[in-house]
Amino acid sequence: MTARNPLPEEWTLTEDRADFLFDLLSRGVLGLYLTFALFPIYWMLMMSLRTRAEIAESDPDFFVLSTDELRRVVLEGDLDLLAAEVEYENYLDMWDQIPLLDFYINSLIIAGVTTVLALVIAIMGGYAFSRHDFPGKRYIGGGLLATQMIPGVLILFPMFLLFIWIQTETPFKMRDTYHGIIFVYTTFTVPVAIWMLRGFFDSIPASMEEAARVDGCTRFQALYRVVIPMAAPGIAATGMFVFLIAFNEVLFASVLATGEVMPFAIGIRRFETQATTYWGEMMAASSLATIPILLLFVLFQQPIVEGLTEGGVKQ
Amino acid sequence: MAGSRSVLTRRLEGITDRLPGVREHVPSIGHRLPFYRRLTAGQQFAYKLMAPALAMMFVVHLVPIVWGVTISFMGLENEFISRWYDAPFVGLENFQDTLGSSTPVGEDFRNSLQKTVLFASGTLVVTYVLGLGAALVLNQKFKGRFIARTLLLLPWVAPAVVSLYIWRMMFQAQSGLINNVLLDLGLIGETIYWLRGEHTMVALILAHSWTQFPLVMIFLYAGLQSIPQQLYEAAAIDGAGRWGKFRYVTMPQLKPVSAVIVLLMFLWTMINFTAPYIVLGPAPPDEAYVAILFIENYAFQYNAFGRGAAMSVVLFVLAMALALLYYRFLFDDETTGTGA
Amino acid sequence: MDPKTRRNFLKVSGAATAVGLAGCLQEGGSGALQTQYMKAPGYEDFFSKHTEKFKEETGIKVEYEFLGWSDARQEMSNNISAQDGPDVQEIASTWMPAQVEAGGWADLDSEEASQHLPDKSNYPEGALDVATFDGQYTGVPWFWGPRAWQEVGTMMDDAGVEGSPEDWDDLVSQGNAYKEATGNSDYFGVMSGGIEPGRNFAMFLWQNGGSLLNEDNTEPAFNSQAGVDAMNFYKDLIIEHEIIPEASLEWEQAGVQGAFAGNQIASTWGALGTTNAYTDEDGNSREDLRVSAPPTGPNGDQGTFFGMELLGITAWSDKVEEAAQWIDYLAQPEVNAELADIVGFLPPTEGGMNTDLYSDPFYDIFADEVFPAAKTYPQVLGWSEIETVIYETATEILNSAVTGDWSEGDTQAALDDAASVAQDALDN
Repeated sequence: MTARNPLPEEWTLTEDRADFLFDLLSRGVLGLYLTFALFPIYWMLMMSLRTRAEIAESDPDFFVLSTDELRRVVLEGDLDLLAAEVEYENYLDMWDQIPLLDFYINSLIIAGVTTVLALVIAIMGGYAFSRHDFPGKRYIGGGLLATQMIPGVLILFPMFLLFIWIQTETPFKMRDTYHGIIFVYTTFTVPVAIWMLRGFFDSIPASMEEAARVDGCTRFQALYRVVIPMAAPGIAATGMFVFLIAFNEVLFASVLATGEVMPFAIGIRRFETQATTYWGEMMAASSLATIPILLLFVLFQQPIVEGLTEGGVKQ
Repeated sequence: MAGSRSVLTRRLEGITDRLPGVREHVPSIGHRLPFYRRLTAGQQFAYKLMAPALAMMFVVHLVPIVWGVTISFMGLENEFISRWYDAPFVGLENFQDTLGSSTPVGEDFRNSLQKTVLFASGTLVVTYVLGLGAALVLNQKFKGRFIARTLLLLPWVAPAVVSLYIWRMMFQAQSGLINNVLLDLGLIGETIYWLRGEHTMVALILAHSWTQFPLVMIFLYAGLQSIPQQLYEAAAIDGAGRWGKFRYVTMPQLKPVSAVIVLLMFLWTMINFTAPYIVLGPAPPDEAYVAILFIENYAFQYNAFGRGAAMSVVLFVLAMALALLYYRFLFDDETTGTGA
Repeated sequence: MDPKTRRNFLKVSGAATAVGLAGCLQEGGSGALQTQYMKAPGYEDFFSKHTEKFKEETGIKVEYEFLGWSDARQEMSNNISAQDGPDVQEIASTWMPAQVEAGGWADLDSEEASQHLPDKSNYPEGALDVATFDGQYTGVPWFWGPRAWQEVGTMMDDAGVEGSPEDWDDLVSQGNAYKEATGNSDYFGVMSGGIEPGRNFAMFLWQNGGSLLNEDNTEPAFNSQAGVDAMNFYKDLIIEHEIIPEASLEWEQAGVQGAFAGNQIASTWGALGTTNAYTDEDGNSREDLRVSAPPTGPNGDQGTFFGMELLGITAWSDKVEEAAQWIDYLAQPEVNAELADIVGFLPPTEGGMNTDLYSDPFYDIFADEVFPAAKTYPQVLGWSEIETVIYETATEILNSAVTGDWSEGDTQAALDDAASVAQDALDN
């Protein structure tokens, strides 16, 4: 602007201004995204601290306390009101309504063992795919991809029949056991894990292993001593992937893992009875299951996210 | 190898040294096969590595698929559930019944197939748009960027079972948050029955997308990060502004990653059971009754496993066909192939 | 690797595998009788006490487990496929035909079983009809509950209405009088949520002289004129006469019991559970209630719905005699009555009804007036599909009436559609 034109006739979009607006827009969008991503989790926590009546209310407050109550707590120091309103009973009652502890433990066992087993097998497989060319590789690779398209319902009943056959012909019990469902889940997650790990292994130059072999390591030693430590982020990412799949699975669990080994994913349905749904207790149980997982992720996200972003581009 | 060799390392070495089969010069079972002997040591090693995976997949994938396809040609109904082998062969009858438009199950099944494609497409679009937007935002340099990235991944990390129940709770017609907020803001006039009426599919897509978009986001983010800076500079020199850069550099460079994630998202959603099962509950309305849920309910409620198998085969074939079409479409384009 | 180390390695890994696999092996069977029941409050104490007593008397150890209603059907179906599971189980009467066809239940007329089971003559015909399917005596009746007309006497009196209507005309005129006196449309509140419209439709149908299926259960008969009239009467009670509140369309058991106990409706159809819900509420007492058989329709006699649970021995059980003894124990009048009381139903035997728990004259009305009118769904294959289409159709008709979309002829058309689906289910 010069002295001749104290006010510009038109406001031009200079590059600086464009940058500024764009930044502003980005931040706004980011804010929206964060709200979208985090609000349901927040809501779960809020609902876990409410009574049945409060949940059924048509006009729920966004926070455990209404604005009036908030004012009284903060300004007047009415801590009793705080204690009264925060309905932590849900966290106590939920253990009695359904065998929640059993469900948690079962899920941990099932998902945990599946993760370990799947990683072991998939590391071997992914390495083979990454480093070696062998006859039938293309078909096997295609087969791995094809497994992603199989609807679970197709193999569900035959799997059940297979379990029964094993149970009657051999002394191994399969139905409603840990090893039964772990076997199934491991096999389900291995193809994806191989695919992911192959990508990570691809990004590690083969020269390292060659050097190790020159030094006298066997192929196998080269694998676990050289490659695995270098691919640790990728392995962590894959491991988390597998864990989540095993933890969330409901279709096969609903048929093959009822009874004593019932995991959390199925068990939590029991909060929905014929008469009513116990949202409060359900949210409390959910919070207890979710918050640790989220915290662990936040703490250890470095290697996992690194792994995800690296592996993303590898075909 | 250079480096300290602790007692532990030596012990571990000792164990692996003794593992049979992974040392190349120890004759193993495979050597009985002429085919195997002709392979190089490296290839033999590869097969040994693949062996456990292949064995498991044979038992859990291959055998049940063949079995399932066999059952689809049998009249495996209620009276045979304890002795499936006695069920009679009925040829294509199961397929005719479930695909025909004259039977109630046929009508329902075809409806469910439509809804499945709708669900998969809808989720695909929503997660891609959300994921792309988030990835673009994260690609900018700003403080707290990594924290934001972690936080935006949380919906995917949170157990889907839990998240879907939360959304189900929020979509409740009377007590749910969404209706209350929309009513308060005056965006809608009367309560919408999210989980029972015509908007059910919207609710389902939204809830499922919430759990999936971070995955798309992180894939696209990785893709964005790998775009060489020179391309942008070159574009700038050619006079491209922000939008031009996006259109001519960013999007084309993202095509390979997008292609992969789009296909995966589509396939995974087509066979996703968890989301519709939890969001819709025990009595799914027709509007969002996707095939996989329908098949499971139908087969297990009426013990009609022959028909259930037939319907599953149809769904499987449909998924494969769409995937193949997609590949064809991809290769006709100039873009680089994905090459599994 | 040299032979010695290889041998050592194999020994160690073999041992480790064996230990691991041992955990996967099937249990040899603990020798106790395995039993399962549908979950209900108070069962835990009842069963721990009585399995103890049974063990003292007979030396047979009984283990018990409870299934939630939502899991039960799938679980039982899986057991039948696997031919593996508990020895004694509670049978839900509507699932029974399919389970018998699939080979799930043992024949109770067999020698081993019948020598220990209670005599069939203890049980009324209606109960035995339900217990037998396809010629096979499958379950021993355990407890049942017919739905009676129940009203809050004080509310009726306050409105100057007699209560306990004898027929449909009486029902309507009383309802109108009540409406005039109180200004409320809550004279009668039958639950119409969930699957209940089907049951209510069946009741109105029976009262009007109709039936669900024909004589030999091969064809549907509910779309007859009697059926159409019955359905229309049901719908008219809500929209034309306005003596059933619209809110009832959402009610299932919890809803109607809450409304009745809270005096929001003056009368309803319900089993003993409804009575108990009413008396449990503060400020109510059973003295307030009056019970009678539901009204008759223009063409028929009384008709009311009863539900029944039975106990059966599973087809794969190898402890048939012990199982029969346990069922016999549970069927003893005192024990049976105790359980029926806990669960809010009635014992299906005279002996049971004569025990102290049921000596109150209040129960006599159930026994003398309501039972004779009680009917239930026919035991036939494919019934679950028919039940589903009937209640869905009834719900649709009610919904369309309430939203004002109903017009003449809709009911007949809808029932005819349902009948064709039913015919389909019966044929297959």
